[in-house]
Amino acid sequence: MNKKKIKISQIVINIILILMCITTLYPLLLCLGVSFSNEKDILDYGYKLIPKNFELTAYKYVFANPKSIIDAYKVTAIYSILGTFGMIFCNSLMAYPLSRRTYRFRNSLNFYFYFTCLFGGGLVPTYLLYTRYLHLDDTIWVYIIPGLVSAWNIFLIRTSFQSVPEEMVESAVLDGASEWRILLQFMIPLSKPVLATLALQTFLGKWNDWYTAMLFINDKTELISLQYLLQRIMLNMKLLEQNNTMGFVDMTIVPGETARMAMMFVVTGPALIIFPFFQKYFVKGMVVGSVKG
Amino acid sequence: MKKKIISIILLAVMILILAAGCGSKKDVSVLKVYIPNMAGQIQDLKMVNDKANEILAEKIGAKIELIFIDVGAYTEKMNMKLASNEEFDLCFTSSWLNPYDKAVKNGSYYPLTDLINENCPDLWDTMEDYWWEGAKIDGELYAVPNQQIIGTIPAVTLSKHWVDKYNLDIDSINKVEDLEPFFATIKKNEPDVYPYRVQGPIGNEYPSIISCVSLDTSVTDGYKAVFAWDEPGYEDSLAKVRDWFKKGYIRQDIASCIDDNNDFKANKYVVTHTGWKPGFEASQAAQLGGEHAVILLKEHAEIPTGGATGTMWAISANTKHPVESIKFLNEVQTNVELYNLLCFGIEGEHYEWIDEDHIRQKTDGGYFLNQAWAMGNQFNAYVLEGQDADVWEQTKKLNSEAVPSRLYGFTFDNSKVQMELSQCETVMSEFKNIFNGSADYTELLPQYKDRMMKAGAQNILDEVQRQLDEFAKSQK
Amino acid sequence: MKLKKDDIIPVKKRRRIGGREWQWIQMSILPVLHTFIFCYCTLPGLLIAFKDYRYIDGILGSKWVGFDNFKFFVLSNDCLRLVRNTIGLNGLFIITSMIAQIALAIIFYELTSRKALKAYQTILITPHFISWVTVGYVVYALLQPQYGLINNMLATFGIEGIQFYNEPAVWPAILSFANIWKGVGMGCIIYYATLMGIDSTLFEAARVDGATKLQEIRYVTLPMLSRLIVLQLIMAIGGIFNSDFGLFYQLTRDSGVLYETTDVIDTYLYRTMRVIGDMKLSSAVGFLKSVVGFILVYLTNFIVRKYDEELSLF
Repeated sequence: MNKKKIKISQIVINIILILMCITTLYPLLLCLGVSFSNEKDILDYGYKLIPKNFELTAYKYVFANPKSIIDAYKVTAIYSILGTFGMIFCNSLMAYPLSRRTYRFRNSLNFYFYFTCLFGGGLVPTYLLYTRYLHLDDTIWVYIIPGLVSAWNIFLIRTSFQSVPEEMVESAVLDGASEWRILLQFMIPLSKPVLATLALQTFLGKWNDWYTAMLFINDKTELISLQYLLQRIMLNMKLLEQNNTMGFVDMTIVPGETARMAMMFVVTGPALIIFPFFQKYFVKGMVVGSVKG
Repeated sequence: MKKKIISIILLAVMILILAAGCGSKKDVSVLKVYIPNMAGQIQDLKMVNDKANEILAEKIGAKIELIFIDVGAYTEKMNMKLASNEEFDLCFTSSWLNPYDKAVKNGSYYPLTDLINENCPDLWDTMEDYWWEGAKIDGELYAVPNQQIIGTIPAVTLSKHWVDKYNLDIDSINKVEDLEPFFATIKKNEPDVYPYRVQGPIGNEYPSIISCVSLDTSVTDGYKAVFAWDEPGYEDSLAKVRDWFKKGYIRQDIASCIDDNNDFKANKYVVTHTGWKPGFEASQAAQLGGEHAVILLKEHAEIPTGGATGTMWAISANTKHPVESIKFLNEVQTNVELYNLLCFGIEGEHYEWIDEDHIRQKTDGGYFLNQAWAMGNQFNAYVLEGQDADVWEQTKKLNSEAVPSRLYGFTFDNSKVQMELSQCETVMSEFKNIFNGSADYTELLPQYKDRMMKAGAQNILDEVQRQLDEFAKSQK
Repeated sequence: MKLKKDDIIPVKKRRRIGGREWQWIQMSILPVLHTFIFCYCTLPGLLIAFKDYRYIDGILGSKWVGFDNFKFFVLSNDCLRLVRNTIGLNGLFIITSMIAQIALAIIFYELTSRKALKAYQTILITPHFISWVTVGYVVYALLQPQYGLINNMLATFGIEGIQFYNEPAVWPAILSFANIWKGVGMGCIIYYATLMGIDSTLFEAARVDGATKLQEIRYVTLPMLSRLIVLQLIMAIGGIFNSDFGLFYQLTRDSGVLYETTDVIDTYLYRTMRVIGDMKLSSAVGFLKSVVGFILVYLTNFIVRKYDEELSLF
């Protein structure tokens, strides 16, 4: 009796999800269509799912300078991976003591970190700090170090640590495990799903970051992040377009919609490929009970 | 809890003060020069930079380091560099890119009058007075303008294709309204295009100062500010747009259109407003394809209020080398060789002479900038292939005939009416549909005025008037 | 299940720092220092809000002006409407997107086919990458008054089209929907991952007791998520004054007619900065947003604490 019921519910669930996927895929395919179109067709006929004239112009344009793109992929991959691992480690480090009720600084530290969620000094002091005192500009560290600790993630990891069954911690303590061992050998492995989620979000955030590169990379063009390398052409064009009434800026050929879409796929494509890597940590169905034994 | 916050803030403040006390010092006589970059990667920058240093070595006794910053990031990055009081020497500044008046208000630029008098008084003679006057703020000069075209002639332009197809007699047209029968023809026969592109109000006589306040040009003794809606012909112009909208001359979705640049590039508009300058037709053809007809709406160019501030060089207030910096600026403005080196690179390497007057740039070379207007006195620039050999003569003529705006050199200080300005800005956006014709103004106009008055329009008018009176006094 | 996991450490010893606590302190040092340098050292920037900030004088050297920089916003005619819209819309977003994310997480959890799950998850996170500008185009293609898909569909049924861009009342719904659409796939993963960490024997026990699916969700799933939900809620409330600018600007196409329901503090500030362009004014508004957000969080946390101390943030 139960089996049949479950089947019906599975069908309903699948239908819901398929409908959602369609609403998601349609715009995505539309963008893909645009990226393979002729620029003029887009201007004349608007966005079309299937390009009127199939063209690779936009991709050729994006890859016009393959060396810098490859450099950018490398840099972006390196700092995204380092930054993500560093973030997970540093925040777990803080989240663990905060998850222990007997830690005497628990409440004040909770407050200490939460305060930074709401109050920040703004861009000017930050710029001053990074460039004048820490000299992070024009180094790869500017992508990695500032994001190592995030109050948001500390709290999310803390919450996850808190739901690890207490008996496990107890038995570990009785076995004489140090707090460091409890963190590294029990807490982190047991919280893999949540950690993987946060890692994914951090990774994608870093992968798509262009603002850091815009502000802090000056001379070392080989350190420019992928997203900024592509965005900057768009930013330049937008600015010149807005000001072309000035009379002295001569507009040259402008790469438009098609290039923008092509860039989106060039940037996010690899990020999407990486998704299954994270996914395996939360799809497998880690069951706490099974680890216990 | 309160105590906790205060002590945290105090501690942070103390650390910053301590840290600020021991800033690092550098002592190299290399001038750091920030330039916006429209080109992307510049491979041969070092080569050009070295060559420039060769030229400069005997002239100013200092080297320069050219640092190009993407134009799209330029304003933001320079804002940070100025705000953090970074030590550098020179940067590009203008009314629209790395805003000049804002930086001056922040004290970020070095005052130049004395510096020029002492080091290179000849620089004053390279430009007409109106350049210098236009670049001054509160009587002091903080940047050297890059002399070039000062203003454009208001015009409308349309593709030759339409002119020929419908036998439009260009010469009989003196103002936009004369095109009405033509709009009707287009509307009837060409369903795929929009006859007219709305870019600001049609037929307003008075120049706008700020927000809803304009200058009453009928008063010639002193300056008088009026509300835009008190201008003669204000309602007529609203009626006209409304009429054109109803007749379909204006795109029907104008109310929800934020960026129509793509439509413009796709030649969806038949008639667009523009500013004409020598060489305009060629650049228009390059951008949109096909030949274009231009109808000049005025005889002479107008010098807009901030005309001279379109492209300039400033010296940082934090510079350690003000004298070398001004000497460098003097060179950029007067030394033809240096200027063209910065604009076009090295002869043979990045460009070559194709005849006596023209050069051809290597578009795939390591130094292809296409931004001579940002580098210095453009009248010293080599003439590019395709330009008229006398393009700079033409431009000079246009400049000399140009009519300055009556408010030339006036900058409005908004610090006393910021709240009113932001309120009025919101009301104006809310009612923007009466200005593009998509809403019926007869009902909404009284509401609009009422809302504007409640939003403090009167205070803005009074403040403008006060500053105009001072401006008039300072001119005598 | 009441959690009292740390009771193993005797209360008496709390006076002195014991070995275990020393290790916790060791762990804390790095993050605490990092936060001090990267967050607390920038705090003098908050002073800009109270100063007539000139770059050349620096933040500390500029003249104090008290609350002058706040006046343009606080005394503004538009202030009330902006606060109402900001809290109303962002509050709506917090609630609707949270419900959608939890619902989707539960649906994922119930799904039996792993392969299908992977596919759905991958597809549903993609909107996260599409910029608001592009979403704006798609929405416009749907809602455009003359050629828009929706009005065309209505027309075939003989229903008169809706002038969406002239109809403020429909926008809270449109914006909420777009917000869910873009964020649900990404947002649900954290809930889903938390569900994955739950001891599955709990569900089995519920099933053995004859609980229906809905009862199972009500009495097992949601309580297990409660800690995360409360945390997310508190964090979201702190940021309730920060709006996703692209969502509001690109989707409404900055249509003035819609301001009644769509103008929020951040879009207002953007417009203001276009005409005034003064950093100290935006600093003042930012400061105000933080302070009010802080008070709201404090209150929420206080209430939560009364209800269950374990759930509270600090």
